[in-house]
Amino acid sequence: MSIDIQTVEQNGNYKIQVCGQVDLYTSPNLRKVMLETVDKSKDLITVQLSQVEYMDSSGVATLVEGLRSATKQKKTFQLLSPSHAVRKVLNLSRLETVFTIKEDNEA
Amino acid sequence: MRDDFSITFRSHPKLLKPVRALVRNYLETAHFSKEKIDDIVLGLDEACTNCIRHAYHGARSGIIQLSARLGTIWLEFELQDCGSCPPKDFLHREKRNDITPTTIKPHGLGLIILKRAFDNVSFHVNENGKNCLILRARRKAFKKG
Repeated sequence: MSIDIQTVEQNGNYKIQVCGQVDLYTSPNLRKVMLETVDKSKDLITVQLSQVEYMDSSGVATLVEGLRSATKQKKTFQLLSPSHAVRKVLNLSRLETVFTIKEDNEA
Repeated sequence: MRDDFSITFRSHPKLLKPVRALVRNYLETAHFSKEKIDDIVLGLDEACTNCIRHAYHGARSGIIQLSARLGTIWLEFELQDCGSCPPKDFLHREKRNDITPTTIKPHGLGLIILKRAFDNVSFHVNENGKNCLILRARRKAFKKG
């Protein structure tokens, strides 16, 4: 599997660190972790995407699901330092303005 | 125009990664710019993903055939499958107004990406009853190395 997903807890909130390639094969793993993490986070979910080498629409759809779930639960969902590959697919799918995007030095 | 390459692979999601690598290598050999290569690889990956998800409904035993040819004006990929035929208007279903965190939906993104990655996208059913998606990108937009 060409993806590595780790979660880090801090004060009841979680950061998901994603590394590798997110596509139709690997996104179900990310989806599972993301939705579980949204449920158990106190009020903030951060998805670190700086080490993502490739992401397709199934990866974006997974992020959308995380955002929707967090919004329903009145929690904040943010993307941290998306890589060039992630920014490209967000831009091509016209969703770059839908997500809150932070850089490492402002998170 | 002759095919530069033609491959046949199963509709298994784990095969998307090696197919992307093959296409990337092919485009690098032809001296396309990195930015355009990224777009085309992503668009082609979305087309293959659509085959797996919609033509074969996630079945991993379907057959997908990908051919590539490079002319003086166009780079052309042809993707064939023997799965379900999509609705006639599927290439024209692009409506994404008033997107907000509460109204956004996690589907339909692949087609948007596909159409933005290529200059021309068309679909037909060929004489053998196979679904054929033709993806074309203008060569003159590419930077030669």
